[in-house]
Amino acid sequence: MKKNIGLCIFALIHLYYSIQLLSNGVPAFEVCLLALFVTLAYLWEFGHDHHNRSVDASRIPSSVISASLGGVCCYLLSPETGPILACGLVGLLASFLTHMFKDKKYHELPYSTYCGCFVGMSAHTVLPDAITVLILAGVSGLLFATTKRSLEGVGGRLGSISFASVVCYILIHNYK
Amino acid sequence: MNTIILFLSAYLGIGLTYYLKRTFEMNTVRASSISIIAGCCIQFLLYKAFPDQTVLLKVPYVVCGASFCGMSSSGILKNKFWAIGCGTIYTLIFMASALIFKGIGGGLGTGACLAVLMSRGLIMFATTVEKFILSYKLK
Repeated sequence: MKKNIGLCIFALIHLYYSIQLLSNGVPAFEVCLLALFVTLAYLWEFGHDHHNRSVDASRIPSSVISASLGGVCCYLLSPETGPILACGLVGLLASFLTHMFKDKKYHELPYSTYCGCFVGMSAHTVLPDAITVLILAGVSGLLFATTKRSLEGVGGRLGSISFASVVCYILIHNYK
Repeated sequence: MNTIILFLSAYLGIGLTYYLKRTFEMNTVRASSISIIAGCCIQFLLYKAFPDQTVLLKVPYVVCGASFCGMSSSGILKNKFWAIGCGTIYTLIFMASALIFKGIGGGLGTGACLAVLMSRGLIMFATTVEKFILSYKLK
């Protein structure tokens, strides 16, 4: 996926987040201030296309599998430990995956697993079963692999990807 | 008092992740996970000693979100002062959005991403204003 398409996806996610803030009573001045500076950062990102490399398709299956596993582990662990500690523990274990899989192809496994974890952090009232989490975490793993060059180095981009997949599920579920 | 605790939690989350990443050249996922576990430990240690339990329940969430901000590369959070600024912005976003996105996975991460992007926008704005003032003085 080209970098600009990936950036558009992130921009849509953040636009949805800002609109939700606005529609839930957060003062318009604060949201506008946030939107102004975030737009500035996006304009800079669109203008500086210094990572325009194609996506390595061979990395997609490993990203999808690791994200799915990370999501389900976090989801199953969260009733016992709480979602935050579950995420921390799964993330800590995931960070050692690079020691197990030394091939350069698997260097991003901790990131994709961590991305899946965020889907698994959802409340059990929002995502009712582990199969849904498995699928949504897989989708977030796919998005992670395809939008890898967008917003590179920006903290929270993994969370934004997970947020997109969970929100899409909620919107589809509510529409039904 | 509650607001100060939330701000301090954010500084802990972002600072610890930033420190572990830069000083020990640690994997960002590991640095963030350690910060999150540290946040949970702090909540556990202070649970009985602290009078207001509601704010204490929010501490791990703030530390978690702030640690995502700390995962940013050195090109984005250039020094610790910008990291502190980013932590402040994140806490403000968290306080506004905590109830809106409750239970939705990735809500903390999206807030963190917006905080980092806003910090970046502010850096760019500050740099542009500085250049403008310098060029005006030279004239």
